[in-house]
Amino acid sequence: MKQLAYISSKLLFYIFSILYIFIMVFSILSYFEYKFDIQIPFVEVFENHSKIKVPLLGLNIGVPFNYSILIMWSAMSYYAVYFYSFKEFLKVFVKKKMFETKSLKRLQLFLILNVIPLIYIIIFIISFLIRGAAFRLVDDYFIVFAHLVIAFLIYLYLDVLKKGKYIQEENDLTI
Amino acid sequence: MPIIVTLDVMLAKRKMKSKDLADIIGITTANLSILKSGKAKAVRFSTLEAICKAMDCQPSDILEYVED
Repeated sequence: MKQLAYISSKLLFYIFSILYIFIMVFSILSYFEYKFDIQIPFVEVFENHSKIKVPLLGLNIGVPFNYSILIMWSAMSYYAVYFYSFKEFLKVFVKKKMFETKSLKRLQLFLILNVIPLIYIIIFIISFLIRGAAFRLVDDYFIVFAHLVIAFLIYLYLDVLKKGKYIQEENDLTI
Repeated sequence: MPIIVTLDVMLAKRKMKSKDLADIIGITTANLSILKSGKAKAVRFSTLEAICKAMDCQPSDILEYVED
């Protein structure tokens, strides 16, 4: 079961990474099509945005030709690192020796990654307040909440792992 | 730690090599080295018994208490 979860997370990471690279490359190419009128496959250009058709998955990704593309890229980069970290997190369970410094570091990274969306949302809310715009509770905030719940569980598990590491060290140094 | 392992002194007295002792008591030379260097956190009674038997000595001959 643990092995299956690890393999699934590995697959998820590779699929997402390929998708990320594909979208990144074709969003840049779509801008070239928009500017220089060069025909690029999988891309459909409109007035101020384009659509990337992802083969096999049948996804249609909208690419804006403004600064919001940076937000899109940063979000995708974040999830590429997140899935990598998730894969590494599950690797801890399939290893024979669980209570290692390396495992602790992997979990700490995963914990930090789950807290990052909260910082992003805080900045987002502050920017809303500065501009005096009305702040709405949309679906995106529930993703942040889910990340926070995961972060809390990871935090608890990290504590267990730290104590386990101490006991493991004691056991290893008992001759 | 206030407990000092004086195993190397006893080894010198008995003119015995660490490797030979490790072989007799059935632990690895790496673990014996940990024990000798004082890095060990605990010693099993079975290990202590085996050392005492192999070196014909008392636990007090290889363990010493020194106040910090």
